[in-house]
Amino acid sequence: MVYSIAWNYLRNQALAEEVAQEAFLELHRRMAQIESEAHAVHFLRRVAVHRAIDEGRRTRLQSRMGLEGVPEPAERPRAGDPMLEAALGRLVAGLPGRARMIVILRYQEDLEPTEIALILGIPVGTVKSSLHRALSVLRKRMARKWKGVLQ
Amino acid sequence: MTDFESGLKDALRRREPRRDLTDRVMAQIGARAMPARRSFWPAVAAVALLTVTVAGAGEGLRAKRQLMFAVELTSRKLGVAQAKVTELSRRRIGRD
Repeated sequence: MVYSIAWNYLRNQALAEEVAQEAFLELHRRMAQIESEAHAVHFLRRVAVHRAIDEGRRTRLQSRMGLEGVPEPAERPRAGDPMLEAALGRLVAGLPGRARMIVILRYQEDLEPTEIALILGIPVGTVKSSLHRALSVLRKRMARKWKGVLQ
Repeated sequence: MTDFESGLKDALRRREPRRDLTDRVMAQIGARAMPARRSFWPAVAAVALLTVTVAGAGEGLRAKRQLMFAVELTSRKLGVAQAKVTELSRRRIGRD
């Protein structure tokens, strides 16, 4: 969970491991305040999300992740196709920071908008509208790459 | 959920970190826990959770074995380190 959030956000193994490591060390420091396993999971997720966002800002990864870098497919892909998944992952990486994290928390972590809002400290309405816009952008960009595959 | 959303879910599925991540975190936790001579059980709990979280929820038995291994290993390592610290403190007090 912790590593995956950071990896999907930063798409850099070393940075993702650094974030995961920091999250667990932070958990260790605050262990006395942790009341349950669910609390620990929530704590870890929250720390990982904010550390990954900070790291993303610091390294200005966004500017290096060009959407145009997604390779053109050699043939028409199927859902579940590794090439399609890689392309979708790269398209997500090209989203602006907050929208990217919202998509990751929704589809990797299966969190509801209310939970995402709590972690990011933003209104639920903002989560819903950002998610809606992000999906619309991703659909359009994906359609441009593979016409009609995932409509 | 639409096909597009299913595709996103597949693309963003959880990934495994390198195997030595747990060891590195354990080493750091151990290093930080020892100088202050605090109880090492929070460290054990943190590593246990790390193992479960890293292993993922769907890998029941494997995760459980890793958890037991991590708890045992961490207890052992931290126990040995704590004994060394205690021994060194005793010697220093003896010299003073």
